[in-house]
Amino acid sequence: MSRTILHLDMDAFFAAVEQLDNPKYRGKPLIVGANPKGGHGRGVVSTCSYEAREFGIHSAMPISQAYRRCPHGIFVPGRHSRYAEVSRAMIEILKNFTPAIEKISIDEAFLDITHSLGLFADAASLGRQLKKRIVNELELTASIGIASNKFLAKIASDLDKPDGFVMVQPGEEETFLAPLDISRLWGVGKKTEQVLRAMGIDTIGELARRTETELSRRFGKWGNALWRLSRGLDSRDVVTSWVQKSISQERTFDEDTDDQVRIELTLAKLAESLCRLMRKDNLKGRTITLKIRFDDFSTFTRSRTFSDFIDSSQIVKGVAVSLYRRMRGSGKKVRLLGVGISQLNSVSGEQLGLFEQDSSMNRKLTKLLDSLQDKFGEQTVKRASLLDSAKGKNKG
Amino acid sequence: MKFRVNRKEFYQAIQNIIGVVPVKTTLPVLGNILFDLQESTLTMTGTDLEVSISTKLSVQGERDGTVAIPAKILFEIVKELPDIPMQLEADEDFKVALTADKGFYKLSGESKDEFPQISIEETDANFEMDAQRFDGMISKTLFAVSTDELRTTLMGVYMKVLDGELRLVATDGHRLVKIIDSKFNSSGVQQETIVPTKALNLLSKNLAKEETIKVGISDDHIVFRLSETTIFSKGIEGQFPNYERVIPIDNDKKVIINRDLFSSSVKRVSIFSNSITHQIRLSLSSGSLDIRSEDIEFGGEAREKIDADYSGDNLDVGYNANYLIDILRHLNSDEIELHLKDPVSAGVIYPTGQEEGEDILMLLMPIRLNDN
Repeated sequence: MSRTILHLDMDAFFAAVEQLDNPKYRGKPLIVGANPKGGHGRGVVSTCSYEAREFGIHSAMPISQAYRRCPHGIFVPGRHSRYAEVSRAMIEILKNFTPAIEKISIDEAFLDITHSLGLFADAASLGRQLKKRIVNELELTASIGIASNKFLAKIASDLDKPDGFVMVQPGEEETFLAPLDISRLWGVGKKTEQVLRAMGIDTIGELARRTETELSRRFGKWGNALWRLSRGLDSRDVVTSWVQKSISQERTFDEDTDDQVRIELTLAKLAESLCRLMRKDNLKGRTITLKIRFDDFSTFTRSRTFSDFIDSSQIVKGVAVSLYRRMRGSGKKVRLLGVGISQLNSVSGEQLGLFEQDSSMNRKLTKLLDSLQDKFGEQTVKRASLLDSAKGKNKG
Repeated sequence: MKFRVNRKEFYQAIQNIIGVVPVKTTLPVLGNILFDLQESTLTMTGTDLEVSISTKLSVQGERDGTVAIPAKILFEIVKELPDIPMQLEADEDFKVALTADKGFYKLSGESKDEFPQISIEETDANFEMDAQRFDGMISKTLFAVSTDELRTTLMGVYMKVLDGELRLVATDGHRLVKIIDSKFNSSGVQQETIVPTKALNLLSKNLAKEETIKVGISDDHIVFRLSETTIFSKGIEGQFPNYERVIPIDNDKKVIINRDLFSSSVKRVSIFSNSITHQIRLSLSSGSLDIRSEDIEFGGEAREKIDADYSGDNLDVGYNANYLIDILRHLNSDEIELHLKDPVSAGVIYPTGQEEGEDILMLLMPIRLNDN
């Protein structure tokens, strides 16, 4: 059965929200990401405004490079709880058009509008109304692609950014794709791109003219997938809900460090925000994983699995720290830390404990902290153990 | 050191103590068993520094001496030998030669000075009791012990000596067993400690042929003395939780069920339960008990109905099937009584008719059902 899929992608989302909340940023190159520290910062750009893109800045670019390209730009750290809030409002708007929504990131979603078309004149009018509501209610713009499958819809939404609106009519799929550069194909990274160009394939149309056998000989199974995509074939459904397998939080240090106190404090903060996410989704998990990347980029993960399902940050922190203590002593400095939890289970289905009343005060405190942080941001209140010891340090 | 011994008795003795030898250790000498020969008595000792065990064996002694011998390799070779006489000899460089029939095997031992000295301390409360009775009490509690290093005080069996009463309690925070021996003769001294699982597993292995056991308890260690074997263990540090407080006294929904029928139903139904939670649902209604499970992920479900002596209000409660099966397996009576209050409080399980001088109860916390 033919389907109609809409892909929506908010334009320069984080930067746009900052410009919305801070009128003085509007019309200026704005970079949301790590602290550039006068060109010596170490993180990356997470989003930048279209004004900043004119300087050649793009997401995932090292922040130091962004700074060199645009030293007079406005660099801000990002406020994820605010973005999440706008994202939730975005989803609420989308729900007016179809219940079949697959949120793929904070600012991006697929909508299966096949069964909603009866309510609107046609797909184009649905798309236009959707864009209008986003502008009216969020004061932000989104780019939209509408096509017969997810792959085409996503390519379409990207073609005319910002404020784009591209429709691929049924039957026009191959014609639509043919002139596009192969780098636009899903899953084609630098390596595949090089190989394809060496084979004399620069556009998707050129790829589609090769036989499936030739591509599968060259790329194996991946070749069959490439061939299908080049013809605009993609049968994946819009997945409205899925079983979440794991949650994790990680952080790169501004400077590689071997300071135990700092590392353990960071683990505590990661555990705290991880557990907040879990509690928000009413989830508990049984396997706690520590991820650690050293200054030579060697990366290790270590896990422990418990018989109990856990959502307490004190336990997650304790486990993360003990896993870390077993791994230290290599003499290497730490570049990145991550804490994750898997084997998730919803709280209904929770094995109750005999001695849990003991911690009922603690649970109430946790709930209170969560709600205060939701309202006023993460810096409002914290456990004393998370306070930066440097501030009150008194070495004598 | 030099002696001759029959393979069968020798293997038995090693088997009884090998369990203490740590698999991984930062102190390699603990991978050895200490052999000490005085005339015709061979004493073998193993330790992991927390738990120690030593056992005596009669041998044909030829030359006294003491040496530490690698436990694993010795165990493996003796295990593979047929039941024939064998000879073991250690020289001054701690090279150990084992000769049996046509075979000759050489191991590198270590000096006794490398091996930690085990000194068995005095104990405050001392008692003697029937070994099989004691073994029964251990096996009924040990299964409920926690393996979770997050709560170390639950990783052993709490043992308490009172006047005229011996009490064992084990819990992993989800289920609990309390067993009281009231035919118990104590010295009148009150004492308690938490005995690590490993010590009790070792003890259980050695109890089979024993008639009586002598137990000595102090607050930080415990000693078990058998006819030829002594086990010494440190107690687990810390406070055992206040278990009396969590034993409900107002569970007014009481049901009597045939233990075998119940257990086999639960086993079958649990095959269809979620593989992570093992959740099953018990639905009580007048005269019967419904046992159900479903695995939403794979679409399977199971349902059985068994007769139950019940006349109270309908009640649904969820349990981890494995926990329930464990509990039913460790009771001996034909029927059991299950006392419930509501779907989120601990259920109490008793055997119908306690054995003489024994008072046992088990607790099981539910799994929260989706509808409450």
